[in-house]
Amino acid sequence: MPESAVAQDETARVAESLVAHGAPLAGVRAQAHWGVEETIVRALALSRADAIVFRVLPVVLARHASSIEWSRLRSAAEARGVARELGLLVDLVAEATGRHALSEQVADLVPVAAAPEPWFAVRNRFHAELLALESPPAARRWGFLLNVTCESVRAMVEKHGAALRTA
Amino acid sequence: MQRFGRHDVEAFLRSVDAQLAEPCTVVLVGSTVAALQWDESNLSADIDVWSADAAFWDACRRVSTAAAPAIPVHRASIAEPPQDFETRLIPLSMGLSRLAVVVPEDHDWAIAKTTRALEHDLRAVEFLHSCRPLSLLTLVERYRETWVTGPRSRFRLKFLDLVARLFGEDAAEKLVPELEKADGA
Repeated sequence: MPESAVAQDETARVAESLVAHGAPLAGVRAQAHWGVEETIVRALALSRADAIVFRVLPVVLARHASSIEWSRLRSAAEARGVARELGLLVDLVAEATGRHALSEQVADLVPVAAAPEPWFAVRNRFHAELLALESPPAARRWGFLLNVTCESVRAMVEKHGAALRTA
Repeated sequence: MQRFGRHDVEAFLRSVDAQLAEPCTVVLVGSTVAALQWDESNLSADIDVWSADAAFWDACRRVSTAAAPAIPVHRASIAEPPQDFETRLIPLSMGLSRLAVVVPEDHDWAIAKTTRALEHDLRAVEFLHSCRPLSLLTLVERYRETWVTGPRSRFRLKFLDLVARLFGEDAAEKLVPELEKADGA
């Protein structure tokens, strides 16, 4: 299978698995190709380029926060090279929903001390300025610049009922 | 959690229509507008409503207890569309008897997305522009007519980011003095 076809297949399977684990993605059938931990890690890798995947990830994490096997999630994230991305996701959900204990689950992951990098590719100089102004503390803590707000994450999680089933 | 496609939304609105005894209007905003018109995949798990007659909400409640699919319907709480956008609303032809479904004009929808300007918002506007090209002149007019709750300078930056994405960075750079003057910066 050509490389692009493999990537497309991965994207489709991750989307299906996200939906199976509660992500509000329309037009995607639900099929759990992996458990929630592996699904989150694979989705994190995709979410650096796909804003919709990034948008729904907090919903999935919040829905399963009480049942996730955290050691498995951390190991999978480190193996796939998305430990910092996982740190950001968990901190963002913890901050947005007020469940600060969640952050303890990623306290052992090590944020990189290098200059922060944009989560999504910078599109123009105005975008770069916005990122510098709007990146929340949770993003900066993990070495990322990202125009997301805790309010928008909170609204997404609450709107899709994910807060009801978390620790 | 259930997710709904365009046809589900249309079916739900037809069910609402069937519950109405009198003519009634609903103004939709958000992703549902895109899903019903140009991007079937751009739909989450609910319908955002800007305004509606009381009869609409009563009918929604009756549909939700009577028939599937019952789709969650919410009042949009954070949308900041341009002033007077309601004078430019576009009716959708859905073949309904009593329910008039109307949506913001494309530029108004784009500006409302830009007031928040999260990455997926701006990409949704880019997708709209790729299907139904927007006019830079009209966008600038609508920008001037839009009041936002946060700092104007931040909204200006978001708007310039959008313009750079749609029309190129040079086009956005040329607008900077004009917008700063208009904003009293």
